[in-house]
Amino acid sequence: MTAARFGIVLLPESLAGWGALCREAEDSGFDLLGVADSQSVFREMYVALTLAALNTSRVRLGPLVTNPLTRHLVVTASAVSSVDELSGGRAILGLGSGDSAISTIGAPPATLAGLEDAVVTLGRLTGGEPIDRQGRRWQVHRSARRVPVYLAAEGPRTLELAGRVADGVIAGMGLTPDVIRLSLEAIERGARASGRTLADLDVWWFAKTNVADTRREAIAPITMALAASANHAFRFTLEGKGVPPDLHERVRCLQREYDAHHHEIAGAGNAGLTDRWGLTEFLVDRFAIAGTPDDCAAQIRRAMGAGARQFISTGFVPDPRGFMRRFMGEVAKLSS
Amino acid sequence: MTEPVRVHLRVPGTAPMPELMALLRDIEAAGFDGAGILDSQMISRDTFVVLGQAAGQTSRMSLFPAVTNPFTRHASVLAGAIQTVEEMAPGRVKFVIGTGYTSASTIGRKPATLAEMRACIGEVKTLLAGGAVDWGGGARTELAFSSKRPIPILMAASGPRAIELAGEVADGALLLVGFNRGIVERALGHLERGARRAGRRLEDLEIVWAVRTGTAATLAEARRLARPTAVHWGILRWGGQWLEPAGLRLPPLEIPDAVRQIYPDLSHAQDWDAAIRATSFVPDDVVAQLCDAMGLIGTPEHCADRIAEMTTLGVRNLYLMPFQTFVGPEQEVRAFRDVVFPRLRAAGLR
Repeated sequence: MTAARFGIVLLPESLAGWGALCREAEDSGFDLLGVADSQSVFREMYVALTLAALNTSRVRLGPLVTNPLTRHLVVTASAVSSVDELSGGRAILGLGSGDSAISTIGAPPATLAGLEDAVVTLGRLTGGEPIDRQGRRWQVHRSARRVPVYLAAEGPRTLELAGRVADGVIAGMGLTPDVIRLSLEAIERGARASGRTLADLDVWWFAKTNVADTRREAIAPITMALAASANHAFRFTLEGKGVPPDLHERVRCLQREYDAHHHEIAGAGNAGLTDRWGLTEFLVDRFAIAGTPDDCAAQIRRAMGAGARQFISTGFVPDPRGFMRRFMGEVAKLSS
Repeated sequence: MTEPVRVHLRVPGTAPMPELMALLRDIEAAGFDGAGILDSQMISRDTFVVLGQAAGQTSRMSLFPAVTNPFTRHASVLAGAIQTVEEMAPGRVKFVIGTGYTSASTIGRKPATLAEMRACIGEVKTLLAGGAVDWGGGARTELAFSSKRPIPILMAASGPRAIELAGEVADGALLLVGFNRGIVERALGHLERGARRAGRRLEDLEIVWAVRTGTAATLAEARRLARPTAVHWGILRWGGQWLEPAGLRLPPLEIPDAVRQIYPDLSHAQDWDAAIRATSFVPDDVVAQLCDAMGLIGTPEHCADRIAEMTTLGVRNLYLMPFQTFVGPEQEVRAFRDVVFPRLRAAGLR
C-alpha cells in the first residue's frame, strides 16, 4: 500500500507568527498547505498566502477554499497567479460553493453551474488563455503557468462535477469506508464523462483532526469544527449522503443554530452544538481523524482500506504547532 | 516653515515581484511619502499580494491600493484586506477607492455608479470602525479583527458629482482632474460643496492631487513622451469638463479609429511608441497646452518649479502618476530624488 500523504489547512486568525507557522507546517512534512478564506472572520487570505509563499520553499499552497462569489473571477485568477509567481510555481487553487464567506454577507452559495464555470474559467485564466466574455477579452496577461484547480465537494453531484472538470478534489462527504466508496464512485463517473480515469485526479480527503493523550481530550477542542462539517456538508440535502434517517432531524436542528460569524473559532458558540444534538460520536466517526495517535492511525488505515490516500488535516486547534509536530511525528508514522 | 509637500508615487504591479519590491525600497529611500499600488486585475499583479509584501519591505512610507473599486471584490473583502495590510504596516495605510477604470473596462463592465460608491464607502467605513453592516438576507456582520485604528478612506474622483460625493462621504479625495490654477480652484469648489452637505469643511478632508507625471532631459521630449496620456485625457476623456476651467480652447479635431484600437487604451498602452504614433492627429502646440494643464511634464527642474507654484493654491499632497503602466517609474524616482526633492527642500517646502 502506498504511504499516506498529508496536507493541512490553517486559519489566518492572526498574522503574528504566521510565516513561522507556515514554515513549521512545511518542516513537519505536510505536502499541501491551505489557507482558509472567510473575509469577515479571518485575515485576508491572499496576504496570508503571500507570507506563506515567502516563508516556505517546497510545500504546495493555496486557498482551501475560496469561492467564485466574493471576488471577481479575474481577480481570483490574478491573485492566485501572483502567489504562484511568488512561490515559484507551487500554487494550487481550492474552490468551493462558499461557506461562512458568503453566509456572513447573506448571499446564496454558488450553484453547480456556477462552480463548473468557475473551475473551467479559472484554469484557463491562470494559464494565460484569453476568454471572450461580456464583450471583452478576459486575460491575465502575465500568467505563466496554469494553476491546478481543486473543487471542494460534499455530495455526489459536486463530486461528479469535480471528477469531470477539476484537476483535483477536496472530498468532504466523510471518511467512513462506505462514504469513501460512494465518493470515489461519483468522482469516477465524472472522470469517465470527460474521458479520464480516477487516476487522473489528485484526490484529497478532508478530515477534522486533532491528537491528544486521550480521545476525549482530542475531540473536545474540535467540536466547533465538527459542527461546521455538519452545517456545511449537509446544507443542501441529507439525501444520498449516507446519514442514518434517525439523525436527519438532529442535523437540521444543529444547522438552524449554527452561527457562521463564529465559523471554526475554538470555544465559541458552535462548540456546544454537537453534544446538544447528540451528534458528536456520529460526526467524529464520519468527519474526524481525532484521538490518541493510535486512534488516529486506525482511522487513517480504515480510510485507506476504502481507497483514500491523501488527507487534509485541520490545524483548527488552540496549539496548531504542537498539533502539527505530533500529528506528523507520531500519527503519520504509525499509519504508514 | 510652511506645511511640507508630501509626494506619493503610483506603482503598477507589472514587473516581477522581486523587481517590484526593490523598486518600493528605492521609492522609500528616495524620500517619497507613499506608494499606491495599481489595482487592475488583468494588467497588474494582485494589489493586496503586493501590498502584503510591501508592508514588510518598507518602514516609513504610506501604502495604498490605487485605486480599488466597489465591484471586483465584495465590500467585506475590501475591508478585511485593507485591515490585514494595516496590521502589518500600522498607521501607514490608506484605502483609496474609485469608480473603476481599467478594472471595469477590461472585464466589460461599466464604472460603478455614485450610488454604489456611496454604499461601498459606507460599508467599508463601518466595518473598519468595528461596526456591523446589514447585508440583507438576515446577515448582519462585523469585521472580527477591526483594529479600530483609523484607516483614511479616500475616494478617487475626476468629475464634479464624484468630487462632491467624495467631499460628502469620504475622509478625503484623490482628485484626478488636472494641475493648473483654474482646475484646482474649480475642483476645490466641488469638494467643498460636498463637504458642506455633511457639515464639514475642506480642512477636515485629506486632499491628494493625482498628477500625470513625466520627466525627460528636455521639455520637448517630455511632451512628446506624454502624447498618449495628454490626448487620452485631454481629448478623449475630459470633454469640455475641465478644458474651460483650465483656460484651454482646442481646435476641432477628428479622432481617427486607430486611437481606439490601442490596448487596453491610449493612456495605459502596452506599446507606448505605437500609442505616440496614434496621436499624430494632434498638433504639438495643442499637446503642449494639454501637458501644462494636466500635470508635471517637463524637465525635473520644471516640475519642481510647478509644484512650488501650485503650493500657493494650498496644494500640499501629490500622487504622481507616471505615464506608462508597463514601464516602471524608475526615471521619476531618480528625477525626484536628485532634483525635485532637493529643490523643494531649498524652497522650504520639504
